[in-house]
Amino acid sequence: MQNTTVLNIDSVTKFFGKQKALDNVTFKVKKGEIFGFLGPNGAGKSTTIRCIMDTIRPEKGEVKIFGQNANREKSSTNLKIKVGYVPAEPNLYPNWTVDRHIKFTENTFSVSPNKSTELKKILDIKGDKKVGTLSTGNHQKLAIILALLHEPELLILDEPTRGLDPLFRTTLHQLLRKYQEGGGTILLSSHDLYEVEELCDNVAIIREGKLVNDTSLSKLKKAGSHSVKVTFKKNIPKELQGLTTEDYIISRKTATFIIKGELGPLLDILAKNEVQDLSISSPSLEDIFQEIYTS
Amino acid sequence: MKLSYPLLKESIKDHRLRWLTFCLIGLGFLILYIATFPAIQKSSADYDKLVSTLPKGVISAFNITTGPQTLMGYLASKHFGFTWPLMLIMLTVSYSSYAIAQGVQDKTLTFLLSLPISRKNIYLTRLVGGIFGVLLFVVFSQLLVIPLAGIFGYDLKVSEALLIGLLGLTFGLSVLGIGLLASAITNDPRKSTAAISGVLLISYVLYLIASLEANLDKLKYLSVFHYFNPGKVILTGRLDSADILVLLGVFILSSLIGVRYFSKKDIPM
Repeated sequence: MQNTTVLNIDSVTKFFGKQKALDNVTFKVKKGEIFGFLGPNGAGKSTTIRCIMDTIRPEKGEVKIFGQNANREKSSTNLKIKVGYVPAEPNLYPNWTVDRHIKFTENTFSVSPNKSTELKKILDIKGDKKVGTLSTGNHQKLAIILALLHEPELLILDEPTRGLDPLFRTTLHQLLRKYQEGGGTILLSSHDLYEVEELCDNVAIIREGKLVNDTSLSKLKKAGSHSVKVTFKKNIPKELQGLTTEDYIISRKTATFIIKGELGPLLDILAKNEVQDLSISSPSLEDIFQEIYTS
Repeated sequence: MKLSYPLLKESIKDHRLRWLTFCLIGLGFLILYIATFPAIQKSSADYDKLVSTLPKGVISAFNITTGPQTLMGYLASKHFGFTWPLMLIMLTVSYSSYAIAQGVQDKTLTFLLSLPISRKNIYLTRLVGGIFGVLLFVVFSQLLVIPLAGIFGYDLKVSEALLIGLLGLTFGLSVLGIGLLASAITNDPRKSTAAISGVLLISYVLYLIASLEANLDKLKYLSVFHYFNPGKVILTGRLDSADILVLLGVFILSSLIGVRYFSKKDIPM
């Protein structure tokens, strides 16, 4: 990772009517890093990204990419040559095929089809399908191919794994790591705490349009409550009964535990017993934020 | 400001079926009117008598020319002055609504804006695509009258057909300019269609009122339909340059406002 700033968001404020959607948002993304942009739904992540992509323009503050103003028409257009973008919601032509999107994008960037052929192979997507008939996963795969085929220096991903199966999440994470190893920089917006923790070098947390300075990733992790459902081969061990104030027994062999913070102590006890089935539900970021800010 | 050729190519590809359908319908109407011309010509005397009983305002309002002595005179009064502009408006409005507002609604505009294509280029490319569509329609539904007249065995002044084609083209451009402006402002294809239809309807009502009420005559200058009068071209044998300038002026002004507005606005996605 180098010290050069690729993306500089400086005191960006954006109103929608009278509602302040972004309030003085400031952060920097350095060259070669994967920067996590974390926040619950509606916190302002997509609004910030839309300012970066120049579909909306801030009332106050400045967005600079590679030192150039991203909200001036001419520089913004030129910057797109260096930027790849995967939006949170589908934005492709339903009547166009996968290949038509790819060819159009290649023609616009004046690049050869080598990269897209490679990406189509890695992501296993067929070119003759119309976008309107694609599953969410395949739609997202195409969006990723379109964002990467011109080999951009900065990749902006707005919740790229939302609604995707775990297998594809893993493939995408590998692809992003490879992209980073090749010198690429990534801004990854997500409301998945664990995805951000796994991938990102630095993180900014946003809530209600403002960057949150009093909360770190570790604080967020400690605040969330996991729901752990365990079925034992024999009866529920006595040392587990009353582990938390919110545990409850469903049957003689099955119990659910609401564990706040780290799961380590519970897992240590479970390791000493014969477990037949185990399922863990991670808390959503919305739940975590609610827990922090209402307590 | 420059064109995005890949976008223009895809835009034409997307609209070819719509344009081809309108062109064939326009051509069908043209053939129908040409085919019925002999019957109308036979009853020309009765027709003249009927027209002479109509108030001058009605004659002017509906572009009615007395005595369809020639094929072009007949077409100008019956087809080019009434059904043809309706078809052109439908074609242009449906294209304009799609060109910008539909892209906002289905978010495909964010895809285009993630590429190195500026907003001005997108607007200009959509405009050029629209001009291509209007031109195609003018050729199929107006200019093909030249070979068709020969096939049906009628004498036709080519210059009259060309002048009416040019008038039709400038009228189409003015509607396209207003349509794209409405599309850029509204962000919603239905609202865009309603807005442009409303503007054209008001324009037509003003034209009718001005034609029927002598003391409100000056209202006609506010209507785009006053400047599109194929009957006048046949009567005078020439194009009124003021009409062409106004229609082109509407096109250029609405396009400039549209480009500027679209370049500055937030795209609500």
